[in-house]
Amino acid sequence: MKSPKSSATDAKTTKRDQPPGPVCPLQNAAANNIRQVIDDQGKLTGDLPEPDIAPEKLLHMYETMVMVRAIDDRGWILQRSGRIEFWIPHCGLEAVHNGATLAYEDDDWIVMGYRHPGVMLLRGVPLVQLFAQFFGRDGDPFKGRRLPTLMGDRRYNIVPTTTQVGSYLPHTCGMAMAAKIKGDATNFMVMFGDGSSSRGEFHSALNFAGVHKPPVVFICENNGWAISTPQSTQTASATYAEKGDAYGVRNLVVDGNDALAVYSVVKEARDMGHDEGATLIEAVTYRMGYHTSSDNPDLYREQADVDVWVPWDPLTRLRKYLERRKLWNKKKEDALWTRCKAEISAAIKAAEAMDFPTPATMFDDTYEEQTWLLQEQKAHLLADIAELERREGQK
Amino acid sequence: MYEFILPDIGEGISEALLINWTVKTGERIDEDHLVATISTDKVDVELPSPRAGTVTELCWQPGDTVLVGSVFMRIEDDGAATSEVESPAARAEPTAAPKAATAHAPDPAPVVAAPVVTAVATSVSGVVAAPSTRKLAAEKGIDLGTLTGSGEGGRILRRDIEAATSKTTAPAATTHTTSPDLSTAEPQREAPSGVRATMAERMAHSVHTLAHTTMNFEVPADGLLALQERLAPAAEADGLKLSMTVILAKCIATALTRHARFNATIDEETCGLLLHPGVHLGLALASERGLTVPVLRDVQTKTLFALARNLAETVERGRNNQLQSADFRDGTFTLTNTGGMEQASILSGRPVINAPQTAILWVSRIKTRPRVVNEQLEAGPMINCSLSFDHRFIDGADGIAFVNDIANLFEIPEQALAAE
Ligand SMILES: Cc1ncc(C[n+]2csc(CCOP(=O)(O)OP(=O)(O)O)c2C)c(N)n1
Repeated sequence: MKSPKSSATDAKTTKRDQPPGPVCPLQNAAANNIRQVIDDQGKLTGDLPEPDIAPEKLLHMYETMVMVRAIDDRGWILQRSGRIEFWIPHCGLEAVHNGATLAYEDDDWIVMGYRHPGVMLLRGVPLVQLFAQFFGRDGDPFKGRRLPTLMGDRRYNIVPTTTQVGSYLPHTCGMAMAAKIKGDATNFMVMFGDGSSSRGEFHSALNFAGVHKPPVVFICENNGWAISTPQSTQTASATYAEKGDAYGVRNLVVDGNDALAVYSVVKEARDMGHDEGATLIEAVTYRMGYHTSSDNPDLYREQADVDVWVPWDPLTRLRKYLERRKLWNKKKEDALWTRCKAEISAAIKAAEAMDFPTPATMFDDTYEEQTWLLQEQKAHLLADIAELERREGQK
Repeated sequence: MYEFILPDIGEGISEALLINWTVKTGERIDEDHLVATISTDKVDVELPSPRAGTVTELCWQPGDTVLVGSVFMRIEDDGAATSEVESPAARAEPTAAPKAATAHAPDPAPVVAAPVVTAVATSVSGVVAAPSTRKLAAEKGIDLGTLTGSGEGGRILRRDIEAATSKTTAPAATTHTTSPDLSTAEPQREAPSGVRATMAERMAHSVHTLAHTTMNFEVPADGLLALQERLAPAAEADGLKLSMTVILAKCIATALTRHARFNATIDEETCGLLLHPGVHLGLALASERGLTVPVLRDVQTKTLFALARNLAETVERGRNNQLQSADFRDGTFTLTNTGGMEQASILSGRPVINAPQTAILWVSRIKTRPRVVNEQLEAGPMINCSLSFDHRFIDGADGIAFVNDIANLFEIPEQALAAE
């Protein structure tokens, strides 16, 4: 029943009143000034040239993106069954952080957000360490102090995000400026959400970047939402990128579900950082999942808004591109998923078997030498615990 | 034995309503297998199992309110020792089986050890209670300040409110040997269930916001009955029962594809309409949990038999309490049909629109009634209908056009089968 037959009046009203349904902006990338390499079928139709990435590096990125998706699938279930406390989904956002990380060298510094496990994996952090962090166990370098998915590791030059969204942007400028003054060739990248652009720190950081030209790439992951706040009430600007104009910072908008496009623009911006200064890149993508496990998006968005993004899934697009290049096929795809799931199950088993960090560790790491106040608190706590254990023993 | 402790899945949730189990005792399940649907302040959630094994005990009944931190179900691990109780928080095991909804659940183990408890308690100022608990207290006229909370750190829980309510309504009748004096008896309170509270809110919203306008009309039902009779044998051969609801649904879907504003939802913020291409027809069903409106999807593209199968399956799952939140989503129009239940001869109704939809149709049972055919008064089968629509978005003329179309389709329902 495709063509509704109707009385003359009704036909007219239908036309006049039909609101335009939701449309994925990536579909009209050129008209929207969104830089792109591949379309939804993985064909090279975009304005950007195909990036020159070695096949093994490309495949490694794709495999990591699939692993990142599989982690999200499983992490959500772990939270729902009470095995981990909290979960921040990242489904649909794989291309931004993986493409961007691939454009950076291992010695460069990345200041990551809370939806970016691929940063850790591409840098070589073992999977089990990620799960130790989710479970808050001994294998977590943060000793179980932070919410699951709030990761980072200084050993890999990855700065953990603070939960004060956007607050770390000026610090990234400071780090980059220090490198520049020292004549160190290191580059810097910082990732944050569209909502974070409403913080004062975003403006301080961009202003600083415009004036002093530190080698920073700012990546604004525009996933359409800041919890329940959509772009229309977040900003009156047409794009987040153009905010860079006010501060004299080079800026552009990229298809955030096109890992090749993200890689291309980030690589270019990174490579010119020491000469030309910072770039602000708005990566247009979509948060397919809940804001966090405590959210209920049915209260503020329509399923139809989400559905238009499905054909633009970053994994599907990159897979189709790889298939066109004969680098990938169905058999490899199935084997990859099986392997990812098995590795995740093994990591869960190993991480869950680890001990919890002891209470005494909570006083570590703030000062190089513990202050007398902390020492006193620690002694107090340990005495209480000993007393408790003694009473337990008597029972 | 593994005890699955009800987790706080929503950052600050203290209790959840058990909607239904999706496993049975004795069933062998894998890790991550979905075991139940629960409803919290925030969201309905399907709970996956943390363990693989055999389900040995489902500790609660659908409809029970379960405290976060209590034993939800027990699973016999594959190959694990039976005696050893293993659970995330070591805790005393309740001996008796859990009781019904309002009965109090075993206390969750304290998270903070004894010596530190006082420090925690003193750091709490004012009353601690969830917004839903505060709301319940307000509804019951109970001052939260007068209660001592039984939750962690003195947190006031729903059960504290319920306990306080039952105290104020303690039956006086037990002291009498003669029949109670009804003139002085306290009224009985009926606490709203989650579903009832949601319904109340939505009904009130609809009636207070939408410009309800109702048109009543009647249609000869000879055509509907004839079609049902003619197709019944073929349906039966397929193992199906072709109910009148299915035929009506098909006719309505056909009309809806031609009258876009009736197959729409309201966007209150922009005061605009979303006109939907597919007909997702809500069917108002009475159930133990109150009125529910499961949705049949894409009715316009389905054959009568596919629809009959779809409906039978939905009703069956409804009966087993297995409908999921997805079954209630995305409705574009609602049909309410008193058919089977109707014994009196209801002439018309004023159905309340299931907002954000724009319209709803009530139909009566088909009955022999007096009617005028070819200027002659005669007795014949009739179906009575009442259509309510939101006059803010739909003009009277649109309403008449829709009613004309519906009446015509009910008279000659074969048109619905032929329509493209
Ligand atoms: C300074 C600050 N304000 C508020 C919050 C609460 N909060 C947590 S996440 C979030 C949304 C951030 O949106 P966005 O920057 O777009 O990132 P997204 O979550 O969409 O990835 C908010 C408001 C916070 N963490 N920090």
